[in-house]
Amino acid sequence: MKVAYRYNEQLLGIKETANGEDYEFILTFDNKNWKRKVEKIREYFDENNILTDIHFYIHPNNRFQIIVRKDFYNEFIIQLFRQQIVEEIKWI
Amino acid sequence: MSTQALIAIGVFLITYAFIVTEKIHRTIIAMTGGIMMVLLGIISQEKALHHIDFNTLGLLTGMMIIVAITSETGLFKYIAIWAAKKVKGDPLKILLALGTITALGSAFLDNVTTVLLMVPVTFSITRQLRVNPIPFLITEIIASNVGGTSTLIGDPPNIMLGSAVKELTFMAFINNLTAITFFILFINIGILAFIYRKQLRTSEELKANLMDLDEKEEITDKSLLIKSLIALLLTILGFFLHQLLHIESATVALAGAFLLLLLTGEKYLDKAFSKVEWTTIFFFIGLFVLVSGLIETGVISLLADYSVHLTGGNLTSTSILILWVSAIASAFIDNIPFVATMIPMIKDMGELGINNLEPLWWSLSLGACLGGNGTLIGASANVIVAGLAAKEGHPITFGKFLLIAFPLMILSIIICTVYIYLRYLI
Repeated sequence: MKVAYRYNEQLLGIKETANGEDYEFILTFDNKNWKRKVEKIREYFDENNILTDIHFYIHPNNRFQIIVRKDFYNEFIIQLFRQQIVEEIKWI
Repeated sequence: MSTQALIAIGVFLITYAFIVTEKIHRTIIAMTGGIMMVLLGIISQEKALHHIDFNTLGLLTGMMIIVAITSETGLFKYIAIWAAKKVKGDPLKILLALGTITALGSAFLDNVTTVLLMVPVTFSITRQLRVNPIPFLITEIIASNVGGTSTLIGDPPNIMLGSAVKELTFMAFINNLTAITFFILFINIGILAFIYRKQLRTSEELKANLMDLDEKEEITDKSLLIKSLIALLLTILGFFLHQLLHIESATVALAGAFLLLLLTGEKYLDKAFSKVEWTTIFFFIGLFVLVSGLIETGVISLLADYSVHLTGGNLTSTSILILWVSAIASAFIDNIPFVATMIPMIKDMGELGINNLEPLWWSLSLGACLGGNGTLIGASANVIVAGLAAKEGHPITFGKFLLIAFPLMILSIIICTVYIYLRYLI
């Protein structure tokens, strides 16, 4: 079952693309403090000892490219919600 | 041969057999074998303790503490991304760069630690470029074993050799092994790049995406990074100067480790100590006691006598024999117990009339360290990378690795044979 999510488009941008076995997200935001939120998500996934679940790439100007393996999609969205990057999630 | 010697051989062979089969953890087996030597009265506890090489143990522990703290800083990811950008995101050149970084890392850090730091970065870079990670992982396995051969602190056999033989200082390893191992490294990586060249292609768009990465953001704690680099650089400087300063390599490593803990404060103490591989430390302790049983009962002297008899005491034949036997043996069995057995044997050869032991020591080091590249079970780094790759859905099979790595290992040993002959034997 997939998850739908909503976020405040005034504060950030999320671009999601399906790509074979992965989903690719591009997160951009103006508030520098939000970087810490993304780092917390990264730390969460670092703790599980799976190396290919999620890859984080940091680009200049608060742009984050995140490649998420299909089987970790829901968990990633839940973590976005937990860090209040997305405001609403629901099963669809 | 005395009854005690026969019992010692029995305990040694049974222990060795269990280590080779890998049914039970090697640390449990080595410690059990060592304890049996004491319990069966082959060696007293006092003598057993005397045979434990605390210099080897101190050096390993010190370096593990330094690496445990440094790895928290994001330094390795920074270096890997920086290197990938320097070669403009070209996968073929990234393979060469990551191989070289792994070799350099392994020259100063433990091989397993180096590959554990490199593998996640490799998955990350190859995923972004959408290329197969296996060529990179195989290159890193081979580079870690070759790079580890180049210094006293790079690979456990070298640590043991440097500790057992006073003349084999850090600088002696640099002067005798670094150039030849890096020559072998570039031959190996070059061949691997040629073999995998068709798989190492990506689009310009993905390259551009990689070029846009901000590697500086990967440094998670700048203050910790500075402290770690200070401690690491002072430690490496200490290794270069340890002979001049008349201090042992373990003192250098432990001084570096505790200087770093002094700088970082006790919040890193528990974490750093929890990352020390105590199983490896106790594996060494068990082996030292196990081999001491063979030394004290005269078995090692007998083996040395037999080897000298076999080669007629000829230095050239003995060196080449040690090089090739060490390489083939290390491709299939753990090189640490092998080297632990060979060190006293070579020392005994010195007493049996072989005056110049230097070529024998370098033959043992090159054979035992490079031999580990022969098979997937030849070295700990190989097993670790293969395990991680399989878990992530990219299995490196025994056969696939053997097909590529065994000929490379043979080529490396042929180069070493020529090197040993030209440099020490004519």
